[in-house]
Amino acid sequence: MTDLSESSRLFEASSRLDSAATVLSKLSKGEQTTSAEREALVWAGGFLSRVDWTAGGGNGAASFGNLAAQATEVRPTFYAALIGIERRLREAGLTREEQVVEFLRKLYQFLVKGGANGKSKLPAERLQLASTLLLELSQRLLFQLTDNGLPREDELLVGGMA
Amino acid sequence: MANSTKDGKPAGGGEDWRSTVLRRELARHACGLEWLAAKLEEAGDYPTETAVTFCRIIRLTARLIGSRLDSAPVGKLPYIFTIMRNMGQYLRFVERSRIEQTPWSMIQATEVFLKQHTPKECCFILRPQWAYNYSIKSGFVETLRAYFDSLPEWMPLSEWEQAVGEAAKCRVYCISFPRVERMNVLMHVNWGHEVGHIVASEWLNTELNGRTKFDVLWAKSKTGIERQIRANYESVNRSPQEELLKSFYREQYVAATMKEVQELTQSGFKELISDFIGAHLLGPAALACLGEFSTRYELDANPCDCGRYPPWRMRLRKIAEVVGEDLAENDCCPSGSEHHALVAPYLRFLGKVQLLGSAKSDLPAIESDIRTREAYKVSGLAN
Repeated sequence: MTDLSESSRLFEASSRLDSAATVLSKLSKGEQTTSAEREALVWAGGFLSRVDWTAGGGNGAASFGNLAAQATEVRPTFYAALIGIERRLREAGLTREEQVVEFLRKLYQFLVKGGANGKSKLPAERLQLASTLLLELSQRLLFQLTDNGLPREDELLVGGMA
Repeated sequence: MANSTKDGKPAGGGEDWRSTVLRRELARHACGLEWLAAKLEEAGDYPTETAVTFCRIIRLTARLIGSRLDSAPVGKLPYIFTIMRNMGQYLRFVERSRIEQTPWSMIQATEVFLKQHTPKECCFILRPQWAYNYSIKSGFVETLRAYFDSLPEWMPLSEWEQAVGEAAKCRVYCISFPRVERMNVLMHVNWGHEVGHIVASEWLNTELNGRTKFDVLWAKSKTGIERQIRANYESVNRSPQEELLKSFYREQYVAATMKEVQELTQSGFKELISDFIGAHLLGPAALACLGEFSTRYELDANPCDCGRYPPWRMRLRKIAEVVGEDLAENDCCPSGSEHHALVAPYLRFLGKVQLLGSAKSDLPAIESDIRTREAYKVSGLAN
């Protein structure tokens, strides 16, 4: 059976990460955020902590059902997105893997706290880098849904009984 | 890919202009979609009411989108397009379900049969397709709900629910069958398998304390599978040395393989449970039907190469196990009995199919790939 629930989960993840990327960009410019925008950050932080095995809770975080399925579906794309912005990471001065992991760890902490000031505050250039990562991920997820306007190869194929 | 800045605006020259054009394009798209859905809704030549209800949902959703486009944030316009793009595709199911395209004499009885075995909110659209296969697609209305739930910056979900009304609660399934088999009732035995999909999904998604049955099953095997995949990665040393993101390459491989194993497990479960249910509902006819259908294909192909479907031989074997007792020739149609001459060739055919399944030559293909090996180990599917 072809179930559309996977596409709706990808849609949700993409849309919410896109929203969080927008908010991070605002924060990097010192702009204020609304409570709805802070909620978008919290969602993104919780979600990415589950997605990322390296710097987030990953395997250890207890998640089942829809959220677990969503994290499983997004995880390979998350790593692909991170690899996709490698040049930006280097330009931002992250030249060792531990630095990347540390950056991600701090980012998730910052997000789950709704971008609040305090110990978990991130400098503007890191916020911009984080925004780039989330935007990269949200775009890649959206491409999986739309194929960026191109016909899908498997639409021409015939499978067995679904 | 990330060559855009946020602010709701992609980077580069002319992006404001592109957004203005996109908004106008979406308004035209919404208008066209609403008109098309209305036209199909009014066509009135459907075997059941489901198609009309489905058209109404799409029409009302398109109208709502059109009326609220002005307030949509620029960054969300591609998402709104995705909703409309998908709704437009859904309409093809409706259009092909009109009476002249379907075995109309069977549709109403089929829907009654389907409803008898599925939850009450389920409704069905049956339509022919040019592709030579049977399929069931689900989650149309649920997906629309999830879409609107993901766009709180633009519109609260309650607005969509209000616009669509009671229809937002229904669950629409679209069952497709090969056009060339339109009047072949014996081949439509496959519909039993499609009903099985609904029951299998219900069962696998049943939640207890926030965990589905599949979660429970998967949790038992997950760690072991991950260990196997990591060991496999190390053995082939895919990691590029001296890379800044060396561990992330490894994690990407592990994550992608885990995802594939999970999907293979789910898919294997769903297909085989659906076969069981089809066989329980329709008996040896299900085996005969699948036996005929599968002659077109390789029996022992690895699921990774075939859309994650279990090998045909495995499916035949499992169905034969379910209907095995019915197949003993002496029991159901002893020689000398009134209909023996008529039924004996059918029973011999079933015996041949049963023999095919018993060969188990599909198992080496399953064992040869870490993804299928682990997936089919989870539930003992390959036993």
